[in-house]
Amino acid sequence: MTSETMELLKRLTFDIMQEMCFLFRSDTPDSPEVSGENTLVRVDCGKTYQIYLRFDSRLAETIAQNLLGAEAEAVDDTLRRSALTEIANMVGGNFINQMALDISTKVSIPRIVEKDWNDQEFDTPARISTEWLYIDKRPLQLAIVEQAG
Amino acid sequence: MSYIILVVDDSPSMRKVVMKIIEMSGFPVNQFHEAGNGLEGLECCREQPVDLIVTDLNMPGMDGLTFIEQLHQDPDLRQIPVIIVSTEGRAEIVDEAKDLGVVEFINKPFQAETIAKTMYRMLGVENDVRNDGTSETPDF
Repeated sequence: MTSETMELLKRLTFDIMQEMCFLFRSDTPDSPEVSGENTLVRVDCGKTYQIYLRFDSRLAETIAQNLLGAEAEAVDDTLRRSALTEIANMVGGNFINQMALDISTKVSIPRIVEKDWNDQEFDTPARISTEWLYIDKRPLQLAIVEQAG
Repeated sequence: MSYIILVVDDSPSMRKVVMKIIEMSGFPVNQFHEAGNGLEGLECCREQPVDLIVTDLNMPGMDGLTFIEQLHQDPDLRQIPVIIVSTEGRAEIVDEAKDLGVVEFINKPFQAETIAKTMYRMLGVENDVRNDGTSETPDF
């Protein structure tokens, strides 16, 4: 996996946030972190790539409200989760397109997970790359796992 | 004339986004129906009249292309125009959809005006559906 792969993933994520949620990138602080509640979404692109997006809770709220064009009280937990998985769906699907992956490669149904890439056991060698994005001054952690074979 | 629109997507939030965009465009909607996959969409079309379908491709149960294939095999349903809204952009899949008669394919992420303009165009609806006297497509 090259640094270009992560750069592609970052670019896709920023584009999707901007186009669908009207949220823009902001500068990343020196010590980025997601503190407190967060939501981790995983989407697989075939058997080779796993993509994780860890959303800060306030960012997650804003994403859901902006995507749906709704006020906070109109966005319940189900809709919030659905909004985040839909963002992941767009990231995963466009990643497959941009990487020109084989036609048999499908994007998985994104799901909210508890365990991240550090808690996974991989049956083939895996390379992991992580990055922090700041969107609307809130953190989003991106991770991509590339498995051999 | 107002239209009955079926929105098919396994994501509840994306269904709401699509419906909201269509409503905000001023498009003459009689009623929305929703379905979580192609199978539910098929059942909906067989049970009640539908004028236009907006569907995702990647869905559990029955995916979008299978859904469209099933529509085409039904003489009562094959005339319903279909717009695909999907992350899928690979030429082979787009070609497969076109072979099934789908002429409009919108990639996610999309701008709000894209869906609205596509619907106006597909159904031949005059885009001045508001009472504000303008003749341009509503500005999003």
